[in-house]
Amino acid sequence: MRKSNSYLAMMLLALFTSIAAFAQTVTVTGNVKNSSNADVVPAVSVTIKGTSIGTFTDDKGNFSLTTSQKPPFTLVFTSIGFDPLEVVVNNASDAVNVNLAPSSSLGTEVVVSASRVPEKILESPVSIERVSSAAIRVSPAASYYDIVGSLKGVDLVTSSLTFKTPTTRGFAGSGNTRFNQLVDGMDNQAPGLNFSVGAIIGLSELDVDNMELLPGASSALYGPGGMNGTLLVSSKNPFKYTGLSFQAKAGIMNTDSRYRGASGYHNWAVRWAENIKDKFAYKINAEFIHAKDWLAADQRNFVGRQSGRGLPGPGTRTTDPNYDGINIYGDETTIDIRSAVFPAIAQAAPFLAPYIQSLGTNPINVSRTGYNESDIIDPNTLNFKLGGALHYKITPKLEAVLAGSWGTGNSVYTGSDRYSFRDFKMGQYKLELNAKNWFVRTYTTQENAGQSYNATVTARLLNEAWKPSTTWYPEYSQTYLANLLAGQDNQTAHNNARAFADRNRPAPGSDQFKQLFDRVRSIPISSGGGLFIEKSDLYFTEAQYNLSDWTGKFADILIGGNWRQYVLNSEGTLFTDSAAPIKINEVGAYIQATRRLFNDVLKLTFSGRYDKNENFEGRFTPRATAVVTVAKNNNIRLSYQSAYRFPSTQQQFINLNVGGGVQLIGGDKSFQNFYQFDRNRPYTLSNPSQLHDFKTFKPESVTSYELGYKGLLANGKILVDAYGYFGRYQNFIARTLIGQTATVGGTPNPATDRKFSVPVNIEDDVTTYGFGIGIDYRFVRAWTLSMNLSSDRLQDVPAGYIAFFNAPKYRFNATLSNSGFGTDKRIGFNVSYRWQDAFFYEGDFANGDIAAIHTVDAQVSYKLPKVKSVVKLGGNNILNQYYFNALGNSFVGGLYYVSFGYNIY
Amino acid sequence: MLTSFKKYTGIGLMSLLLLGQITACNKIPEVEEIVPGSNPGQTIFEIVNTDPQYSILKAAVTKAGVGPLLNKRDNKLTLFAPNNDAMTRSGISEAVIGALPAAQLAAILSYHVIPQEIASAAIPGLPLPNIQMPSLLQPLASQPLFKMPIFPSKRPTGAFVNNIPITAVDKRAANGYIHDVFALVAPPDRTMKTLIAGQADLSFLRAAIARADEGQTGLNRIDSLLNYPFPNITLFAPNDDAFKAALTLLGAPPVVEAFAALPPETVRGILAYHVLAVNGTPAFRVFSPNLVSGTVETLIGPSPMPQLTIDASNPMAPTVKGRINPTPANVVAADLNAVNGVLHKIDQVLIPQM
Repeated sequence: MRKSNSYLAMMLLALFTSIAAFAQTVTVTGNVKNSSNADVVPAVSVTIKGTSIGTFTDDKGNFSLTTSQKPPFTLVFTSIGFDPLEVVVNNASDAVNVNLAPSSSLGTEVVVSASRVPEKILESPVSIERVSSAAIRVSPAASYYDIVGSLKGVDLVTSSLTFKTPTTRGFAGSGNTRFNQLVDGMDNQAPGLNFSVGAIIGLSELDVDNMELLPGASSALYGPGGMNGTLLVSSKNPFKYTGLSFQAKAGIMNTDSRYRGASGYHNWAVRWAENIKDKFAYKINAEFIHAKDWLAADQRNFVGRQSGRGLPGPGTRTTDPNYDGINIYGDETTIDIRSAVFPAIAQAAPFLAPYIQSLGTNPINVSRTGYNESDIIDPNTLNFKLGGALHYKITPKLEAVLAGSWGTGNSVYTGSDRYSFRDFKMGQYKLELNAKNWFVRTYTTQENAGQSYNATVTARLLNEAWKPSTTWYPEYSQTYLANLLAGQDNQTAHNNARAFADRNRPAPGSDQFKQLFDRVRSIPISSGGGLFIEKSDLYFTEAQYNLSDWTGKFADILIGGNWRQYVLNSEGTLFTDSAAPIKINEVGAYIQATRRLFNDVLKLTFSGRYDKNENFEGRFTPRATAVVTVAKNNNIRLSYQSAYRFPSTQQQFINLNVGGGVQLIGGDKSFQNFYQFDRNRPYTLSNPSQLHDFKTFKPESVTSYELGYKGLLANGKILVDAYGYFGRYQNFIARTLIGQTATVGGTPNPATDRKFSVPVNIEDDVTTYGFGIGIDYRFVRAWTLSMNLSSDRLQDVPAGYIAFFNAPKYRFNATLSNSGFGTDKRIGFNVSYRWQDAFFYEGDFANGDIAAIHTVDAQVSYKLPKVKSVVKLGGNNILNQYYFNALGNSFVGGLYYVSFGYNIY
Repeated sequence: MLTSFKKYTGIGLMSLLLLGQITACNKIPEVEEIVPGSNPGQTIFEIVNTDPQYSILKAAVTKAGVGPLLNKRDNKLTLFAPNNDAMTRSGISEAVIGALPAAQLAAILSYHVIPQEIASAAIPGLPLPNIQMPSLLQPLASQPLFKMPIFPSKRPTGAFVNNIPITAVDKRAANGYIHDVFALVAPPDRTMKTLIAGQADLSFLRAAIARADEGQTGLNRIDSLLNYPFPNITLFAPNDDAFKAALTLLGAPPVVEAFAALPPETVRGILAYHVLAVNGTPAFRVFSPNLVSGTVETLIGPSPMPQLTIDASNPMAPTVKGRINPTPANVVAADLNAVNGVLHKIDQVLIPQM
């Protein structure tokens, strides 16, 4: 009884004191300005020193902080790009107006992704690149994703205006599956199509707080997939960044009408965020892009597609009857009329038999007439992104976040074929709890391919729908023979034959064409059309706990784990899921321990991660890093990292007939029975006397060693970052072509037998190595010159081996920028130059040489501080030097724009 | 240190901007044409035009307007070229050419050209009698795949085209071959049926065909078969004297009306025994130089059906013997070429069985 009385007393006391505390709160208000130009500075963190109590300045630079703490106390003002400032508050009723000085030192940024805990970028244990919102603001790039492409060691593969895939350390490709993209902690990969959609469904430009790029193996912390790197994009917290912001860009592209008539580029973005008493905050984002896309117009002849190892070669529609233009679709259909049609003609007209015989036994391969990309793919690029988040502080130290981002649009992508995305939709929805030492996050990715179709397949079927090959080829063959018989030369005979067989062919853009085209593209691939249905989903849950508060004396320890489930649903158009969606489960866990030694001169970190996919054996990936501080702000880093990747959902379950008539299939065991490989064993297409050996399909892995240095020189005016690495890939996943005879035990005939492209693990190890060096030099206050050079090399490549390495030997970037000069320092500018070496590109769609690429981007901006606005005039590839960076991809030219931005920070 | 940095940075920047201006020339590879292999040397037309032994042929080519076709460097042709001696032998002089209509000349010349390169080595020898190749001459406007066939053949003694000897082979031209021929190779201008209709000494054959076709329709009618342009028929045509002798032998009066007394099947069987066949189908057009001593199948069917026995040991006077005939029949007029076959007149009716 006494005990309960004392409890009651204590509770009353607590209530009383809390009321008392409430009664005694004070509110400090103030304003923050930039000391150099008197502009207001929003999103400055204002905290009471020694506590977690704090707030942020709003878009007018004002802050208001309510606390129960009695003055005097010290307020700490921090913001990236400014020197921190401490101000002692003696009387709460006095307004605290401060001026923050722009930081003169480089390398003050803090990164999170390298170790999953905040640390100074200079002390990062592995190579890391960071793009801040300030960098996005001053970049000439029309889309923030392009900025990634100018970072050290990055290749950006441009499938189309809005579809760009960054990659580091080689193995670039459209939709690279070896490079993870995480947006606010959510894997941005489309679960069914396997490419990351950051550029089309990711964050709106105004909501990007920063991007962090980890080049090289990074699955030890981020899970399977990050073989070659991970890009982490973080959005702006609505507690910190508030108010209304908007940006309108209007531009022009295709200015010289070389491939497509001059057209506009429009990009509108708006963001609204509100912080309600530091307890609740929300934001809404929208971005809309509309343009006519770049055109992929490589009309070169792709010779040898059937062999699986084609190359661009000579030949046009009028000089090669078997012409197969790279960006011309429908002409992949090819047959040898000599063996497929002539025998029937000779039988029907015996008087021609000796003549037909006199034509020899060499194949006379003839392809059907294709359509240009501009005829088949809608040039209108549309992209609409919508995003929002609700943040609620359950306690000052525990924040709940409910966030969603959704995007839709039209775009073009190069995979095994060119794909037109129409009304593609993807949404990511997340619920997150963040505390100081832990977080729990669960999210789902919901994909819907909409009206998307495969350009190659659709064009081929369009041809069939208009005139089946069973009619077209006999017409062609008869006319060809008749022309030869009339004394025409071979090529003229072919051309006349084509003209006859193609007579009344629907002209692109005609009503007949549109009708046929719309019919074919709306029939699912599984029913003989070009439409792919893709409604796959991903469910993901993860949690992390930082145990350092307990273990700090010994080491900082971090643990975490996750569960991932793919639900593949393509209704049989893409996967073998016609009966029911395919579910794939994956679980993983990681632990990391960091210890500082010798008075913080040495920092050692060990991480390890274990993952298990239900279809594959579990894998452990370790990582060990060391950072040695050789002098203040001069660190040498050394790392051993490993990463691996479970075969992508497509590599496991795809079942798709692609351009060359080859069936693209997955490596899952179920295909053995499905295609009766167990009863009628296929042979290797490159060597038909050799039966194909189906080996256990395994995840691929990489181990890499890296040595790096990052340091500040010349009083923080020069930042140097350099690295060298060496990586070894094992069980590398590639594809190989196999053929299956029509009957069990039949004689292989690669020309007519059914062909499959199957994923295989390459048994030979592949070694890569490379280096990068970057120098940032702030030579006079606002002037910065940044340069970087990087190199990636592949070695020990066995002969005839297709590695898809796809990286130039060298690439170089240089940027000169000024953050403010002229009257009131209102003018800023930025000029960037990028060069990359020529290289040989290998892809599922096409192989061939990529010429060296030079591009110059530039922008000039003018600030209107009174209305908190910036007018910017910018251009990408301002010399309008068209280039393409992967075979089959769009030819990218100059894009020039003016933008008006309000309240962008 | 810093000043030198500044200095070099300035230089670096300037050179960077210049570099951007000068080298920023990205290459978009252009499509490449396939350049056809150059065929060196003279074309067939150029050879005909310049070789004096072809001066009459040249005149014909010029008048007929087939020069451009023979001059195309990238087509493949074979010309059977009658030189001046051959032209004279066939009664053609420049004066005759001047008198002939150009269209007719073009037809004659087109028959001398195969739209394919046929070297002499590519002409098959025995056991094939010859090889059927299309010429450039198209008899039916609606049938572009059907060209008037021409029949090169090769024997140990020499090569022939139809029944005309080839006198010189394999003159290489940029666009094919020229083979010289002994005489003009006249193109046929009528079907077997029309050809037979025009022969005064084949009236009994016509009557026999009419009797044999009674009750038959379509291509089962010999009459229709002989008028059908596509097959290759070799017909040993007994002349009227031969039929009269045969009718007398049968105890019938030697008049055309006598066929009415014979069953149509019998007449049909006898006629079929005069047409060469392979597996029951007329397949080859056998000119007299293509005749080989030995037994040959006829339209009445392969062995054990009765065969014909040919004796070509004297190529100038080949004979053919029916199974029942006590003596071989002589070819009295050989190589009457029609659109769809060749006819050899013989002096006996060949009798397969009693």
